[in-house]
Amino acid sequence: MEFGIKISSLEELQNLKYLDKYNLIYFGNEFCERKIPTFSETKEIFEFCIKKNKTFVLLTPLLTNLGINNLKHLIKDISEINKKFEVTINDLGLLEILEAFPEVKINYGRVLIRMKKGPEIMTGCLKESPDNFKDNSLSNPELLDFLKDLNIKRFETDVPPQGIDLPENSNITLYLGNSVISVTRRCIYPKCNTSEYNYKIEPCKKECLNQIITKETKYFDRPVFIIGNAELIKTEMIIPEELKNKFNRIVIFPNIKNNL
Amino acid sequence: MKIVAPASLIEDIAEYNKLGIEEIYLGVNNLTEGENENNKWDSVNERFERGANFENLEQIKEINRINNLAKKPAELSLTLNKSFYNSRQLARAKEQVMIFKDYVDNFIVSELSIIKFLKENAPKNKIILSCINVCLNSNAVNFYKNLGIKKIILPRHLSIEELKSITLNNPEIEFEVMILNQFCRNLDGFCSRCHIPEHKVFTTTCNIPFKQKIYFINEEAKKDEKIIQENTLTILKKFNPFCGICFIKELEKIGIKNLKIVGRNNSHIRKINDAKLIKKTLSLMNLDKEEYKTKCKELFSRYYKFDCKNNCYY
Repeated sequence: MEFGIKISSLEELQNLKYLDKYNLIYFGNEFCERKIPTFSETKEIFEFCIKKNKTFVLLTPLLTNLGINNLKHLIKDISEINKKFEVTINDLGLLEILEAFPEVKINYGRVLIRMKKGPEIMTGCLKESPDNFKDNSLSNPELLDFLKDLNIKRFETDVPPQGIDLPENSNITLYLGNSVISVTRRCIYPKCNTSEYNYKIEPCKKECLNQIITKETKYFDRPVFIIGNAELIKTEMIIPEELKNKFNRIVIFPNIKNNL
Repeated sequence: MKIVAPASLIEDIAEYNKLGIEEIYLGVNNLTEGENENNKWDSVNERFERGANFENLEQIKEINRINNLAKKPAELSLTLNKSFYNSRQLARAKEQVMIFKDYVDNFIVSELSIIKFLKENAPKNKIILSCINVCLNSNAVNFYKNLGIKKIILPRHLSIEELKSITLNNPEIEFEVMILNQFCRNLDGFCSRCHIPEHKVFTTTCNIPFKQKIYFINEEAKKDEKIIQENTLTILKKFNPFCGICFIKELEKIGIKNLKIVGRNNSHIRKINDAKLIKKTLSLMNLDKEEYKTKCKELFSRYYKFDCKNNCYY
């Protein structure tokens, strides 16, 4: 069993209490291409990982042509430091870029693993048993085979409150701490502190880093956190018994703010 | 530019043929005995509502027959665009391919294993990539092109400039964008929410009242709390973009060839009204950009009896 942790900065990594417990360090953003880390940030963390004998995993988001281009350069630059690292993709367009880096291990990210997982599922307002909401993209063995043929070595998912059905005999990572329930490109935060607020897809000043908005209603069993362009819910750091022997890596997301 | 219009009633077809609509898309939810409309999770397309789907082969044969009577028949496309399939749903989707492949021209799909199945089992049918798959860049376009995709429906969550960078880089692929009705704040393919049933039959919503709280990470930003609260609350509670008709001229210029009208579960009258509006806007393409936009806004008010308030897709 491998253990990983998602970190947001070198400082956070250096101050980790139980660094020895982790084999893998996850860094990057899964949702917004405007928050792809810079080479200098990534280099510092990657070099720290090499020094401490940890595997570095770069998390990547959904991508427009602009984001693809930025990531292409970032991956090329860090592969010049060392070719042994992993990339978690959340956009299939990145596969073509990664063909040029055969030593990089490719993980299939949680945004691409589709599933019903809103906070309304556990309250009963849907009038259906939560057990009916455990199916997901990985429930389709033909899709798994197809993706494995594309050189995808691992599948990474979070565990929503109702649980999840997972296949056997695949490399599966469980993210613990939160679950992503939606992603948008119409982010609510750009210019949100000005009178020119217009809610268009335009360049932003990363206003999302200043605050997190939550939504609560009687129909949700827990608040929804609007973190940049994604909505997440917090989840328990507990692994359901039924998943025993179906995963071989755990990644801890210590704080919901880590997703910013 | 071609209009791609939704159908869920037999009478939609002849009306669309009269208007000269180039492509009609539809779905089938073929419930077997003992099942009812509550088996929504077994639907093989994203619209599980009974009113959004046809139910059997006889109806599809009839559609095919009516369509073939037209002077210029429309292309018929069947949607199999669920965002994920378990083994049971996959078997149903495959069954639909085998039953309907001789009666439709195209399949609109989202999931990779269905694409593979179609290539092997329905090679004469064109494969169209649904927006549920969320294709946002040229490398992804290339990926799908290599799988045999001939047309890609791009999500509404791309700006005109971003659309342009995709279409101009990939002239060999046909692109479609949505132009009318419904807009989810989330990317269609990346929303895992379940709409909550309303008291009315068959309707569901995610637009429910909620309490909003802001947690500041940067204490300095707290001085703008009031305006942030107002701005974001307006979007989260009221924003409801409805159309992109003012942008049709720009979309044509950047190589978009297909305009999709959303709304398979709309009434017959509404669907035909929508198609007429788009036909009308396409007849005005010789106007200059500003005149065209003004005219589109006027048409919108006339067709829907309310002002669009610039609630635009793009």
